[in-house]
Amino acid sequence: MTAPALRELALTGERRVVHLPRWLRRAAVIVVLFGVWQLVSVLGWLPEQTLSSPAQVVTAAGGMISSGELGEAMLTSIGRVGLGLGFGIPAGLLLALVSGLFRAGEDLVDSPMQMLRTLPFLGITPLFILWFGVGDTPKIALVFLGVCFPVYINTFVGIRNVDGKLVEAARTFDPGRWRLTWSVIVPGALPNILVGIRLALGTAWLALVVGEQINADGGIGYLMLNAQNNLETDRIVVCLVIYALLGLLSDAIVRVLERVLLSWRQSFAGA
Amino acid sequence: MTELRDLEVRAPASAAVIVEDVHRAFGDREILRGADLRVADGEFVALLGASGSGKSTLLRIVGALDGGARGRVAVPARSSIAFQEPRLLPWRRVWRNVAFGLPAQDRRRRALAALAEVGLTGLADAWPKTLSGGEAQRVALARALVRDPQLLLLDEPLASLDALTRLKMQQLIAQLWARHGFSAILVTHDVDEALVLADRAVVLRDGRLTEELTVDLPRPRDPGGERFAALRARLLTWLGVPRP
Repeated sequence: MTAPALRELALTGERRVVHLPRWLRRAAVIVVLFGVWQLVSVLGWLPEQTLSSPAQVVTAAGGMISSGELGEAMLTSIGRVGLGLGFGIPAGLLLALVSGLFRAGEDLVDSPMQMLRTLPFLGITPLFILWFGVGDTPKIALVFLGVCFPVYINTFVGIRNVDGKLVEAARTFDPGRWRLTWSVIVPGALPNILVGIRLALGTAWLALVVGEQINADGGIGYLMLNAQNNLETDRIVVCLVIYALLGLLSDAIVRVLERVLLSWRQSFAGA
Repeated sequence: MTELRDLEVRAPASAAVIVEDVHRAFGDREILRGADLRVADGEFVALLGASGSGKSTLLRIVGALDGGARGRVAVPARSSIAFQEPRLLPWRRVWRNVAFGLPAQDRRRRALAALAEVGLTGLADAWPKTLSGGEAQRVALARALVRDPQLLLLDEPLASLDALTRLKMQQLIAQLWARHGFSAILVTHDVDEALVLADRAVVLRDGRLTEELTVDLPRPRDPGGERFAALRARLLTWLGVPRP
């Protein structure tokens, strides 16, 4: 058999690629979106009644900040969310530990949780007001509900997804139940637990908005309700932007947590 | 069968592992149908057999990982297992993996001593994800040995390593065994590995231990030797591998 004909391969040598830092890329996307929004408003394609332009939103925000109402509303809302998270996350974790670690626990806890989790916030709020009166408690209770379920479900899944081989190997060294739970199972479930917390930070705010609009006494939802009643779209958008920024901030917090707590992982990090 | 009984006479009182008439079925499939095995104190036994013959099942029963068998199994109080995968906790540094389960007092010193024995002192503070396969398996060995077991169970621990690393690890295991004097049961597919490491090689077939071979070669074992080749040929025949 004769030797095959050869073709030359194109070799480029080592390529030096310049990368923008990640946060800059992500921020750039947001800046571009705002830029497009402003452009579309200025060009007249987006009428003022439909949606205010970013410039108008900034002006309105300036006014709300200097009058102190934005700061006060944010403090109120953040306080409520904080309390709801402070009770809801541990509750979700505890229920998931009971349910995830013990099959008997799962039989006891899981079905009621699955039933409770699809109850709509809008429907529950009047009930909470009836039970807890007006004031902060029904709102915190709503946030608690919004937080508890994502944490519960994701923690449960995380616990059940821990590599059985790891647990088996760990067991052979007689660690005892406590050490097995806290040194093996919970760290193994941690990636999923953080997903649950990330989702909970989002639903916390969604739950609070409902509470602050139905029983309005302070907070960002209250500001938004007033703006709706007065048809002040620019102030409505200010509130929406605040929520959006809070969403971004929540996500950033979880990312920091992930970097600190999950640096040991060697999973797919995106192409 | 005669050979097994002979061994009982030779070492009746100093048995490290006693397996008598063990049956294990999974649903309809009977994996072990009356397995009998005795491991003398300080003896190194290799357990061979075709895939699916029940070697790992038997090892797991001896290692108290599988309680669903029938029969009699007696084991020493302190035993450790090393698996085919290193099974290290990825969220703990290497030395903390080795120290897992140890009482707090003296923990780091003992872990470092165990790591020194497997030649990994420099990696004590490394994360498992940074280790090569051979290094991770050595950490797993250190973890198994740090608590000074009387019995070491090895479930194909070298099967997923490359051939060169495997040879080095075999030498390491032989050294550790010589130094510590624990009893050992090694499940392996590799006939050479069995002959390099074991005092005795037993073959599991049809759910029973049907053949046994005493490896009375001097240590360290030389795979190139004539007697070695003869023993290898015998084992391969028992395992159903035809001569070329």
